[in-house]
Amino acid sequence: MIREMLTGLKITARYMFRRPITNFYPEEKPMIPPRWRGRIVLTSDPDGEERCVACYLCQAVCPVQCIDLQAENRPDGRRVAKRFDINFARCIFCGFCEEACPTYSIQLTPDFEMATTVRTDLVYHKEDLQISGTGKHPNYSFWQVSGVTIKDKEKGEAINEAAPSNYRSNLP
Amino acid sequence: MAEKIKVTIDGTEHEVEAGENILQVCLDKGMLIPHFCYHEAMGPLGACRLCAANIAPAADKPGRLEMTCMTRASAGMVINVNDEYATKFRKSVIEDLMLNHPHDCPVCDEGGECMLQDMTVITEHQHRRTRFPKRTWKNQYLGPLVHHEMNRCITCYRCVRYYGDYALGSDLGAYGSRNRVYFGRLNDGVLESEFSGNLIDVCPTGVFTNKRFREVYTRPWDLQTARSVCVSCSVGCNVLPGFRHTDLRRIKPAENDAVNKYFMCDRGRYGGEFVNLPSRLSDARVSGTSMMTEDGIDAVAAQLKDIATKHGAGAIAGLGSQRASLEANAALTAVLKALGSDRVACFGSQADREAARLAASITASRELPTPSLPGLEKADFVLSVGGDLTAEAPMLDLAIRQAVRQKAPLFIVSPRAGSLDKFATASLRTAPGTEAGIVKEIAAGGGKDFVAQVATALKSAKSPVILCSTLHGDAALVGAVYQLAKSANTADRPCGLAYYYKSANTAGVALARKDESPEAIAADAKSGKIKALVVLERNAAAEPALAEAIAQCEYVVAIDCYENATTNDASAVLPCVAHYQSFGTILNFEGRAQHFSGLNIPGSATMASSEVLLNIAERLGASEIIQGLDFHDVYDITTESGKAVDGIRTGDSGALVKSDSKPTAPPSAKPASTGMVAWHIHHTFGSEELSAMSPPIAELAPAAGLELNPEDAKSRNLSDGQNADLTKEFGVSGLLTVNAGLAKGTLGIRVIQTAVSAPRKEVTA
Ligand code: SF4
Ligand code: SF4
Ligand code: SF4
Ligand code: SF4
Ligand code: FES
Repeated sequence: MIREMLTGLKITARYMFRRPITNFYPEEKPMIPPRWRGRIVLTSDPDGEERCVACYLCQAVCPVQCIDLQAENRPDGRRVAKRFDINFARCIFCGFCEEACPTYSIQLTPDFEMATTVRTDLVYHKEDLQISGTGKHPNYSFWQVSGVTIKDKEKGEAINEAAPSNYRSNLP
Repeated sequence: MAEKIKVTIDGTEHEVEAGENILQVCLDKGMLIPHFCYHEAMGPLGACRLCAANIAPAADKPGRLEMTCMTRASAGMVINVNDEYATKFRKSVIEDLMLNHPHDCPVCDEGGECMLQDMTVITEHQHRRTRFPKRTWKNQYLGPLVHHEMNRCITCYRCVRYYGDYALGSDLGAYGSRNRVYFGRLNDGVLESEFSGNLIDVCPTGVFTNKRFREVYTRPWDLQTARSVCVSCSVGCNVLPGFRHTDLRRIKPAENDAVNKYFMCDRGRYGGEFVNLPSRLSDARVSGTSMMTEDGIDAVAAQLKDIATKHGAGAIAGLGSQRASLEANAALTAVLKALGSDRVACFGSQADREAARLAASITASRELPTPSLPGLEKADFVLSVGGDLTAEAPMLDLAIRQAVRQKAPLFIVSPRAGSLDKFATASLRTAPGTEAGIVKEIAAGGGKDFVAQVATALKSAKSPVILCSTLHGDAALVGAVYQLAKSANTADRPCGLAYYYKSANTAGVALARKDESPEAIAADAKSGKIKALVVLERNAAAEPALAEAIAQCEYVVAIDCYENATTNDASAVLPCVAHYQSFGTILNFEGRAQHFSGLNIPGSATMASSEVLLNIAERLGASEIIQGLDFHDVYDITTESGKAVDGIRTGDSGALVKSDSKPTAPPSAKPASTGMVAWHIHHTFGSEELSAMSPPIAELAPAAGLELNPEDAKSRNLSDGQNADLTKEFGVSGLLTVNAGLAKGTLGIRVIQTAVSAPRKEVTA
């Protein structure tokens, strides 16, 4: 019995002279890898317009169904989210939404400091989610690739598009 | 029936009919052969080259690549869909089709129900290998219903085959050549067809999409849907209304082999937005105070009981609804019975009532065959009498167009030319009230010109069909058409006869055992004999025969889904859910009982009108009456198979009802008036009460007003665009349109109901 006690004390004594590993959070911020899956944001195009085209794919893929949005057509031809809600009380930060997003709009960030004592505060709306930066994909702009006309981009002006054909002509 | 033969598909033997389309056989058996241009309604074309399979005429013969949609089954045929070369071929076809396809899926409204997405996934095509720029097109403005995004086209030709070949529209075509074929109109403009919305379903890609749905877009997988039946006319097309959050987002046709197979009309497709009206009712309102529906029901039951005890049973009457279910109308009779009354009026005038009741009893007697929509398509003689089919029962028109495509002669007798007239072999413009005489002449066999032509064609036809409108309150015409069909009907040559009606369930309420003329009820309400009126889903205050009665009656209970003149005026309003959220059974023009379902969505009332009424009956202590409530007691109907009508379920093909009694004798025709006769013009868009409130339908509706034949206008010194005041003679005035397609001696009054919804009434909370 004495032997067991001494073994225990030995371990205690060993740790007494080790350097403590306490992180002084929040005074000292931890190092979070850039691909950490934390608080979700909606990013913007390189031209500063919101990227999300309200395609509903993130809503469809989300395994806990914490995303809810409604599409709307803007007068300039762009489709955007009229309403975009993520319930972070339910989100499991799996990153599926980011993977499904065809426009690189929705992205997970290294921020995890979202604690609150009010549950409803965890439902983030579009104004809480939208950021002005491009996030991880600085150069991609969906609207410049898509064939849909928007203001300042007519048919044939998207990347790798020929000028509109003329169906009234049979010439080659 | 064709002979049964055996074919081998992918190693398994299947029994099929000789000559059957191989692609259809495979699809029916649940095998997914990629395809685009083939559509069951329009048949094969062989344009897309996607349905290729290796087909050998016999097991010992070499096979070769063939289009399954263009191949007919023959005995011993060996079909290898999964053949390596065929699989590769299909993949390369998709790759070619995708060469110019834009990167649009995230913003394309077809996404989620896109055939091109599905076929691309099935064939496992993944990367666009070419670097050449993509061909692009400019879009066209096609009106308020259909959105055009031409870049997405894969040149399957389905759209023009549907629009031009099937629906006989003339303003959509394929233009250009080789790899530059454009599908659209010659110039921007509103699509002329009343069936243009079907382009959305027919096009396998997102070129044609629903412009209204686009504004409140949501992916189809997020829509909450319960199968329903269209409420916009008496054809009873099956539909899938899709809801999300608090609103109806879109309506799509649902397949029903006995009614509408793939298609529906634009009025039905776009007419459902009345469900979303800001004036939809969600709370009860009793003497200006808003309350929960349950409390409102209590208050109404107490008040009705009070009136019954004070003034006797005869002091209460009901106004039944032609757009509410059989259940709701039966529940109304239960409430009245609980109060000791049996006075109900379901129609707007005695003339309408006579015509509809006679027509419904003729149909339900099942003495003559009633053609269904698929039956109509096969007719080889069509006579349409009394109304404008396209406007009054749109899908009947589309079915007749199929008969016309098969070279069936089409004859039209009516006071005003409609869209169908351009396909008619001959049409006769005749003043209202004179049609019955012409039908009699046809039956008599003599006559000349038009009459002789119709009589001869009818004699030589093998499956003739006669269609007659009941919307204009001409019972003599209903009777005359019946006599004509009867005389043409022989054992070896059945003559189909169909009547069509004003509303979705007019045929149902027309078979009610108890129904009074509205004039009688109105007179008693005005004289004070009737003290209370229970109005079921009906804007009775807007009906000329009843407006005064509603205004003068002491106590009016209105049960409806939206605010209108009647609910505005009523002493008590009980809200019910709109048709597409409701459930029940309705009878279509052929007397087919169809059950429909609905969803409860937030933001609207919670009860169907039938439930509201049964709750009132229960509060009146009439649980015994509710228990004993039997369709057969209320309506003169059983199904053809003898099964009770209550047994019909949503989604089955419905059941034809029949009645035990013989049709009543038709009244003799009124002597044709020598002067001008007023005639209500029904338009495809804007004339039906509920759909007219839908914004896209209201946009397409013509302006209200009057119409006159050029000669009549001249003799009255009136010209086009002038304000015509005919208040003295007909009690109407309005903007005059001179229409050469209107019979002489007819004053056309356009029925436009785009503004029937009233603003919500102020309430004290
Ligand atoms: S991270 Fe996962 S759980 Fe959270 S919103 Fe995205 S898909 Fe949903
Ligand atoms: S997947 Fe991306 S573009 Fe689509 S709705 Fe979500 S955030 Fe918007
Ligand atoms: S518009 Fe649609 S239906 Fe017409 S050819 Fe193109 S893909 Fe086919
Ligand atoms: S034909 Fe009648 S029932 Fe069919 S969709 Fe049109 S309005 Fe509705
Ligand atoms: S479906 Fe057979 S070729 Fe298009």
